[in-house]
Amino acid sequence: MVAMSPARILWERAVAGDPDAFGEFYERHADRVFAHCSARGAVRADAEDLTAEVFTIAWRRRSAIQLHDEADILPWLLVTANNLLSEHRRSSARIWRLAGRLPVADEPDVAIEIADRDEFDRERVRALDTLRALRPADREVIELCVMHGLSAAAVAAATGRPASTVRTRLARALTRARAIYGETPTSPETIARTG
Amino acid sequence: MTNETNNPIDDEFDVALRRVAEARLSQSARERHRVMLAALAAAEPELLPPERPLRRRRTVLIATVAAVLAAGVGVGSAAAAGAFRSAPPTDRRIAHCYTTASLTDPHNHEDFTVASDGTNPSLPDAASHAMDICTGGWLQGRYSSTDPKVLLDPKPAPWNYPLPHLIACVLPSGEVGVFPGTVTTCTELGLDVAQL
Repeated sequence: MVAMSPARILWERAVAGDPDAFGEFYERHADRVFAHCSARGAVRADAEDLTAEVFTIAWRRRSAIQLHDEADILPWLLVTANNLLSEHRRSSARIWRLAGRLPVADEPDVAIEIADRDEFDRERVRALDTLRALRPADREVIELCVMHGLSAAAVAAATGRPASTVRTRLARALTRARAIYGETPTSPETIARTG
Repeated sequence: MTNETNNPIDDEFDVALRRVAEARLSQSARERHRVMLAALAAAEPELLPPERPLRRRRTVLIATVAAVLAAGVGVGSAAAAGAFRSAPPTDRRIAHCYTTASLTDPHNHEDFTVASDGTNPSLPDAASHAMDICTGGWLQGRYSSTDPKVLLDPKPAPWNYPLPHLIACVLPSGEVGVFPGTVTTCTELGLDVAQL
């Protein structure tokens, strides 16, 4: 008999409807999902709304989510975020604004924050420019495997592609990305508009 | 996971990318999200399809009659007995959360709209989200059964303030109003139960 990992047990509890168990996954991964949405160009308010929506979908579909052996839901969350971001470009308004029903603090957009810190974040912005220059599939595999440090197997499980395909694509994508990165200047305009 | 190389630009690229992943949600956003997730979990027992076991949740039971109608559970007998009438809202753009089962108190409710869900930008659907949104207001303590006045700001966290049974009715305007109560509350107000 193979014992279940603590993460697997926690996920099983979440699937059974335990909101505290699901809340654990939120606490673990909410920042990553938010960072992912921000890196894809969403301003802070939209990235926050999208993060909420990703976890809402995860809760509603939790019984159908197939996790990799590592019982890590992060790959699924990030892939779902990508799908939402595609939709988001068609309609930037999200239901999770809740029409101002819930408290919203006055916080600056990521773009403004980045502009303020441009001396420190030039390389970060340059990396985002590089990602934007890639083909969508290349960008996704680099985001998942390099930016978020996921294994090829975990990405394969979340995207439905064979792990070998993920590894091959990652190697090729990194070659392209590093070539672009080495040639990419970072302009002040780029810094100001990047989220 | 990255490919190891001897090119310093590669390390720079990887490090920069990992910095991108270090962005953090604000505390206020986290708190909003927790409330919304709690509302989702609280609302779920009535939303489950019939083949799945209903989990009993003691303090929270939301009367989402629309979900019951959709599932075809228990409607026959109630409808046959003439216990209530149900109808879809005719105006889904605006919905209302009520703190008491009264249509005459000017201070016992607030109105809301929602942004488009992307499927039809010209018609934001507040009605579909009325239960979730009103549930959030109760959990935050902005609505209370002891004081009908709606608070502008939430009470202090943790946001698990008392949540009564809620029922969605169709107001005379055709919009959805969510009241504390049950299906009989709609009937007593002369309203149809909302088919959300």
